[in-house]
Amino acid sequence: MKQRPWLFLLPTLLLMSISAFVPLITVINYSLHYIFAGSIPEFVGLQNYAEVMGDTRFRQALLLQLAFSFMVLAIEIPLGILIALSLPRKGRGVGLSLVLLGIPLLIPYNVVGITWRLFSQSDIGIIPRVFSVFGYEYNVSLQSVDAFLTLMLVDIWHWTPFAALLIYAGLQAIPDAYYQAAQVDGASTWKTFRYVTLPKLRPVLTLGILIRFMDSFKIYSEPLLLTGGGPGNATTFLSLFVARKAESYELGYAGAVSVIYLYIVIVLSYLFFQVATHSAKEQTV
Amino acid sequence: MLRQENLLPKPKTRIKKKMATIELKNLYYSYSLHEGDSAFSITDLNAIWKDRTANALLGPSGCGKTTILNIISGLLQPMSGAVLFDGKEVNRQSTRERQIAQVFQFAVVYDTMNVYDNLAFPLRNSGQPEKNIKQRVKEIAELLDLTHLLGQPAGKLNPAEKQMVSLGRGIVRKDTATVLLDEPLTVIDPILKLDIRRKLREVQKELGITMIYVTHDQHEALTFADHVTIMNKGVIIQVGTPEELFLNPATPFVGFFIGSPGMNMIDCEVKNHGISVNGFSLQISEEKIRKIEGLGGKIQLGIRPEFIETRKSPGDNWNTFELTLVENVGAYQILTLEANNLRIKARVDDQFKAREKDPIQVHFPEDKVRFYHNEKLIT
Amino acid sequence: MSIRAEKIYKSYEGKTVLENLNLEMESGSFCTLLGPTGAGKTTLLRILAGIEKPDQGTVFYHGVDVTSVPVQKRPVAFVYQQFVNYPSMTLYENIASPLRVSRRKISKARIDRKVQETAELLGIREVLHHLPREVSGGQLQRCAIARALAKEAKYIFMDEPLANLDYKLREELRGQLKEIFREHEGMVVYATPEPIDVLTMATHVGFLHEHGILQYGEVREVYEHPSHAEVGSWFSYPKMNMIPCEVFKHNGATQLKVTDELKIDIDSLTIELNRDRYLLGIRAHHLSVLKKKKTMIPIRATIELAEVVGSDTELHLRHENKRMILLMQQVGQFNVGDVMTVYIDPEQFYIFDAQTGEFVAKTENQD
Repeated sequence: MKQRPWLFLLPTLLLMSISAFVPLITVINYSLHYIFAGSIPEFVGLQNYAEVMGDTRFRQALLLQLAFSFMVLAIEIPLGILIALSLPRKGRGVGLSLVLLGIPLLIPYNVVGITWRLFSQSDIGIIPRVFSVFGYEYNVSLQSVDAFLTLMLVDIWHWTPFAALLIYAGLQAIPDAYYQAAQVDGASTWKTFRYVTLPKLRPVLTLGILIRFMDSFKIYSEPLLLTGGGPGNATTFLSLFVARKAESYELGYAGAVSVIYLYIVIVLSYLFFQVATHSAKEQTV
Repeated sequence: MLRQENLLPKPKTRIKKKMATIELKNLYYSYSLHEGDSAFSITDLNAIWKDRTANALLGPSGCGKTTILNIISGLLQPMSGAVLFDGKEVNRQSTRERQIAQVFQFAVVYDTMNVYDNLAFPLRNSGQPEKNIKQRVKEIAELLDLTHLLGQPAGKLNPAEKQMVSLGRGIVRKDTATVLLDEPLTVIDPILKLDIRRKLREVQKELGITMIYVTHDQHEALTFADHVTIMNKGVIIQVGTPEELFLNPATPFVGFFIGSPGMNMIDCEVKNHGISVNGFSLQISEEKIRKIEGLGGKIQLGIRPEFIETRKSPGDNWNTFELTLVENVGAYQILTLEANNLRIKARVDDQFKAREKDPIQVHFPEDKVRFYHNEKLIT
Repeated sequence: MSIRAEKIYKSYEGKTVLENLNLEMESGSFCTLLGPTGAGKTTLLRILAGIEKPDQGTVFYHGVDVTSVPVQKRPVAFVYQQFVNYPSMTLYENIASPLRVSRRKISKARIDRKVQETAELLGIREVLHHLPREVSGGQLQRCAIARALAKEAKYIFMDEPLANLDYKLREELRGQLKEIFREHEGMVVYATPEPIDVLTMATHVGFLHEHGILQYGEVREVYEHPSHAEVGSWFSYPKMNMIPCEVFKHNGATQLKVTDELKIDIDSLTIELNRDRYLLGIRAHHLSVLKKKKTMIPIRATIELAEVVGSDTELHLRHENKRMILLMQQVGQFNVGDVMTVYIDPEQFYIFDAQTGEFVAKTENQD
């Protein structure tokens, strides 16, 4: 009976439709209307989309977001590899290291945001103190560079453990025989890494990169709590951009941005799916 | 041409003499409780494998043969005891320093490189000039029938070809003195197994490398090796040529393990200057009776199904059995014969005509019967 | 309890696995599907059992179309290659599981009796209370077989169940399985690439080749009368020697010539040979190092390899440029490279068409 599997999925589908489909339809609906506080929504077709595409602020937010995601990834993945390589593989240290590593992952996003805000406060924070030792005047609310980099730091602190744990699991799956063969072949540490470790980690790395990319693309709580999007628009990432528009009741516009946002994420997911299954096929025996 | 190459001295690098008599002395190793469910350990094991020989280490799964191999290669350290290469202790040396190449159950190749680069890899790592590398790679590729695959990415080959590349990488270095093989044919298609086996033998003979081939399959072991070491539960039971192991198994276990089907083992006792087996009596020479008589403990009679004589007509020293099962394999048949709670297997040719439930006359020729006392061969 | 498969088609991702496959198996038999790895045995087995549906075609159980009936509703049991067992249940519970979830209510006492019986039959009674990870591979596979038996399924499907076991275990189980299934009333369908499995255990065999069944019949029948060179070659232990030859007319007599030394007269054959080339098939044990019969033909051959197979020696020989295997039923010492004289029994040849592979004639005495 082919229907049985669907029965098992029914509760999930129900939940999804409430929490996802209904809001989605609502947003798409908004995006096709001109809405201003109190007024009756006026159907304007794709006009909002045109407006969004032409808006330099939108493009700025998008570029900022892309830059953020790429840079954060460029640091998290290699750092994750380094950490994973230095973790113990067997014995008592394993459990302890994995737990310690996982702690940042368990902290809720908003707590992370607030905690780091405290760290970066000009008067009481630890970061300005450290920088002042080197003679640099750190100010997260006035200097764009400081704000952007601080958020990067937060994301890296928060999510490198994810990359590290994923890669660690990938490393464990590499049979010892390969390392022994490389040793017998007289390969240097770098060569072993390049010809054994890296190729064998490819599927895991692909997974990690794509998940982190998608995730960082949606970053919201941390910038909201830490910088509020500022100074100015320096850290107004795409999600904040949408939120701001929605807050000022430009719901139509916000809706259009949301849909475009969703579209970008879907395209990326699709790419991820293709690349991941393609490399899975290549991994036969 | 290959042989000439081997005789030419290599000018720059110091030539490590390709000698590898491997010896294990008083080896101790025990498995922690977490590793699998076999709880035995290797105690005071001694073994020697001579230089330039083809050897097999044979035994059922979990008998410790892979452990021994890993101790020889350096992947594992024994708890105590010495690993000696040409008389020198190598416990502290790495696999490479021991001049060992290893071929594993699954092929180990560098997926991102093509076959040529795979084979060239060890030579490049030791800084050899490209010209020499090219020649050596071509030689080895030819020996292993890989010439037509040199440009292919190694990841795309079939398992048999990959194993040859694995082996090739091991022997491309001229200072490799020993190759250890751990059930290398496991992932290979049955059709190709024969060719690979033949190749391995060829390579061993051609290059004069000491090879130790670990397997649970007696067919592979007996075909490949001149000397076979049989192990069970961490203990070496017998070492010998395939013929020796077949004709004179040192214990009932060896008798059972070698040969298809294994040796028949029958409990017996000495009675009235003869051998008594479950109601039958067997005539054997005085000389043999003297060796067995008076020994307390368990006496067993072993005879291989191939040597049991069968016929339809009764006679002196022939006993009647009932045929309960016939397995016809084409070239020969295996008969399961029962009588008086005794169950034995006999092998006959394809011309032998008999049906189940028929009575069959059975005779054990004395020169083929082996006696075991407390599981050890006495005569 | 018969099974009939009609016009089965199945392909995966554009690659045809089974094409216009037809098969009919009678009740009470131990049927085997023989073929090299990748020939489609597993696919066919799964389609027959109902685990997969064919792209086209019908499967009948005892005359009833069951193609769209899911496997849970069929009276079948399936034994896999990878000793599938529930890891958190003891072997006892594993064997009892199909009985416990059965639609007919079976009393606990009966379940217990059935489990004990089948465990006894498979020799795992002492380890019934152990968990799968505590016992060996052989015992696990026996547990899987016991589970299939306990279910009293009318159709038992087995997919190379011995493949992952030790050599010696396989030997043991082959004999045991033959005995166990002798008493079994239903039908067993067993897929394997090993001819020896078929020869020792089965009543019937179907040979899979080029996406279809090339030949099906009683084991002895197919063994002695292969319809095609593929069947002859593959369904033989060791593999049958296939030697190309030419038709040669000499002094008014017609012969099949391989080399100057190896020629056989074919005038006594009742069948006309109208091609110029053929394949001669001869089994390895019909070559010999001794001249056992007057009619045996001597040829000189070089030894390429001597393989010890249990209690036999397979001599790989080369006669001029033709390769052959000789099965010697003893363990002997031979030197690679030696030239020796071996004898071939000319009455044991199979003649196959060199192009189509079809069986043409046998050279055995036509009287």
